[in-house]
Amino acid sequence: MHGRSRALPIAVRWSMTLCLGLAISGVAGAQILEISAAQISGAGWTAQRLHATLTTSAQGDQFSLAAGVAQAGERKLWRHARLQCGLQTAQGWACRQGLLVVDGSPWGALHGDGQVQLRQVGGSGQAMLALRGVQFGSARVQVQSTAAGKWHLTGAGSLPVAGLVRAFTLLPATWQTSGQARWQVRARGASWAKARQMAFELQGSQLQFSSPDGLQAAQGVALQLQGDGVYTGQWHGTARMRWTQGGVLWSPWYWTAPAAAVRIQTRWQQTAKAWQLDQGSIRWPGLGQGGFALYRPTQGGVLRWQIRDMDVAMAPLYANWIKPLAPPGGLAAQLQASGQVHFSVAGEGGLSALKWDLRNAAISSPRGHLAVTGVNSRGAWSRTGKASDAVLRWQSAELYHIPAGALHAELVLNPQGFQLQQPFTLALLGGELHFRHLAARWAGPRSGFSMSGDLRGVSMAQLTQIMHWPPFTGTVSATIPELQYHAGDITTSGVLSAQVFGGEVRVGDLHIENFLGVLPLLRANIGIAGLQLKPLTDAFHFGYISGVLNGDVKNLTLLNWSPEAFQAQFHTVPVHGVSQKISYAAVQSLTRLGGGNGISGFFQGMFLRMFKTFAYAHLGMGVHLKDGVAELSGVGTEDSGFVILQGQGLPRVDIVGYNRRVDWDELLARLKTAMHSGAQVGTGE
Amino acid sequence: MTKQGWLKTQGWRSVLALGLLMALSACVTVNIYFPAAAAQKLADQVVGEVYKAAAKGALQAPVAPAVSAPAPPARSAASATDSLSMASPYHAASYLLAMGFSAISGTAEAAANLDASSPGVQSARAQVEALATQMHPYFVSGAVGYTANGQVTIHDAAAVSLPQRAPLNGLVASYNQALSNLYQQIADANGHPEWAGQIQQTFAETWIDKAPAGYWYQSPSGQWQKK
Repeated sequence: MHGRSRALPIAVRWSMTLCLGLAISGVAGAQILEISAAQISGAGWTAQRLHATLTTSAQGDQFSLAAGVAQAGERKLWRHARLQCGLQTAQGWACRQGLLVVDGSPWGALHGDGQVQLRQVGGSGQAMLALRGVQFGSARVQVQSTAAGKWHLTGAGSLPVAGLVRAFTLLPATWQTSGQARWQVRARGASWAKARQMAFELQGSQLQFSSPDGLQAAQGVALQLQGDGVYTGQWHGTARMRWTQGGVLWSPWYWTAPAAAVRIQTRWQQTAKAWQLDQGSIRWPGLGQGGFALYRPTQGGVLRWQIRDMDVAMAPLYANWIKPLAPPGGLAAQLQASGQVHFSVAGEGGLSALKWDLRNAAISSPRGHLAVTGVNSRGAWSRTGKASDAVLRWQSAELYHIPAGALHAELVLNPQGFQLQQPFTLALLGGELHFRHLAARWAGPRSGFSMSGDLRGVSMAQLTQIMHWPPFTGTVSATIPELQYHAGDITTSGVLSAQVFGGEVRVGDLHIENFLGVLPLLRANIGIAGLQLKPLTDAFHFGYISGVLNGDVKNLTLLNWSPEAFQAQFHTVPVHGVSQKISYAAVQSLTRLGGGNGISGFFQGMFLRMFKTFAYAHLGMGVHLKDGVAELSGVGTEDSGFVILQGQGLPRVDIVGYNRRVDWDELLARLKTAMHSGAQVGTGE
Repeated sequence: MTKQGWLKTQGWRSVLALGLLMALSACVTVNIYFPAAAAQKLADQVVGEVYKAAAKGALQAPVAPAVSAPAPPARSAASATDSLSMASPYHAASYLLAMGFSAISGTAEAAANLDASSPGVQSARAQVEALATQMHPYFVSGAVGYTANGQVTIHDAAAVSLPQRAPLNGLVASYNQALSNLYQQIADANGHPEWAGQIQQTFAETWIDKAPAGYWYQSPSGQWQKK
């Protein structure tokens, strides 16, 4: 050995294991010192198959170092690294004009240049490392140490993000990443390999990533990450992040950086069991602000997170966070929301708890299918806890332009859904809708809503006008047995019965597909029994008819709430104590409905006008609608016609129709004409 | 009796004997086969209108088509028709016999209509057309394409911008659901729910055949190709 060996400037507490080889040789005036070690390991890192060579000659000293594998923890950082430089020992050790070659690293194969300086001044030491390469950018690290072993490190540089992401497994290996990051590090410690304090700053720009299917991606992201930490038996510190530019896609969500930066700051802690973020705060301009916490076990286990006391605007919350979860063709995907909400939410392998306070919110759909205003709600829900209470209020609502009054509903929430705490009543079209039962299930094959209740005194005039149905007057009261809503479909498990005009209308097999969607489809079977014709014809301007009507509408199909097909038949039934009479005006109306132009004969008309009413034996009509054509029938046949009215006694009036097939729109027009042209007749009954 | 006369007599006897045998054993089975031609015609119409609505970007009320196609003639009848050109009494008798037999016995193939006028089909079509309008830019850009079985799938999500990509997965799922519903509704409307698979296959080929230039589709082997 040349005798230039000096004590290393700092105490190195590395353990050299397995094998340490030392060889000194001289070849052609040069002296060579070779040191090899099978493995050197420190706290959290290991280097294997090290081989250092010092060659001294008249032309200068050369130093080379080769490392088979260098790894931090389980992660291999470098493979087959070789450093070669000119060694100067005039003022400490300096390794200048160094050449670095690494066959394998998180950045791939590396090739760069740099220098290393080791100096000792009065017991304190100084080390400086500068590296530069196309693949890993540049890095300059300076370490100063005291004789007591305390040290201080500063470092700065820039690097491509792809390698950083791969090195720390921030994203799956198959994802593409790009972008640049500038970094700064400061650290200090009491002895080598035992840092006690550190601070870092990372500024990323033009950051991009993309999953193989392109459904998780980011473009043009700029963010700044700052943090510091202290070791007091375990690492803990603070971290701050600012997101200033770019967009992030995490299908089905997409967020863009607002004009003012999104700011997140938190305290962090690393223990043997977990990484933990607590006392976090997030400020998202245009959305809101609140707190958060996160717990990630290091030895496997489920990630736990909380978002606490968020105050956010409903419009961006719904548009950017809730709506993307809704099926594109459904109602929820068309809704707009406004108002404010204060909420806390927690997750542990899925949503586990939610607490909310919704204030002065409104929901509306562009086509006016649904509009709710003055919504206030508060409550709490837990996936594992016991039942909790919730309140829902609104000032007004509209469903398919049908207005509903104010609501105050008290609910009991359980892990699977909610149900009513007590029945409530909603004002509806001059009457009311009473909810005896209302419940929801979040998941499973029976997910959706179910309700039962009563309709009381609902104005048919208003309803038929709003729905653009043939005009109908009077009120309807009905019992709703069990109505279920699931994935856009409504079904009833029982018979919906309504008391109308002294009789009963029973709606069975009700099924509405695509409710609140494009072209809703309703199917039902309707039975009518004991309908009093007098109040019915009083309500319509149809003329006067007395009697009792039975009938049914089978296979009723409404497409977009317009009749598409049905087989209907109505006929009077003799009932003791109820007369069966019809006025001249009603005869005229029925004649028009059957396809005639009223009683046209001058003498016939004049004669019949002399009587207020006529007795009849049978009255009825059948309509079979299909493909826009209605096929008419009556209570009997005569010649090639169908009997609508079969008179009785004198004067006897029969109405027989001969045009069996009529266009549906034409029939509707006839009905409309008949309803508006039939003068009411005072019969004294 | 000349040889020709003997043959004639024997021929008529045979006809008579066979006729009696046929009358005793005749039974009729009418099979309604999947009306491939009608399905193709319907698919052409529906697919054309969906493409048109999607390109126009507006939802239009679907016009209910009702198309029918004649069933292919029975093989026995066809061969008998050919033999009519042979004018001998024997051949004429054979023809009549074959015609008669095919009319009252064996298996008949009935023509079937494909009715797409049912409200269920109309509602299903409206949903497909509404979603097709939203899918249109994704087809044009190549982000999505047709599979070989009448569904759609993501071809290259990166073909559209990040904001456009966000709803893509959900949109594809909803569109596939709407397409399956359409195929099933057509089958149900015609009283043969089991035809849904064949209707879907007919539509599958039509979606690709009628696709505008630039659309992507998968071959049966799963290879992507561009129209």
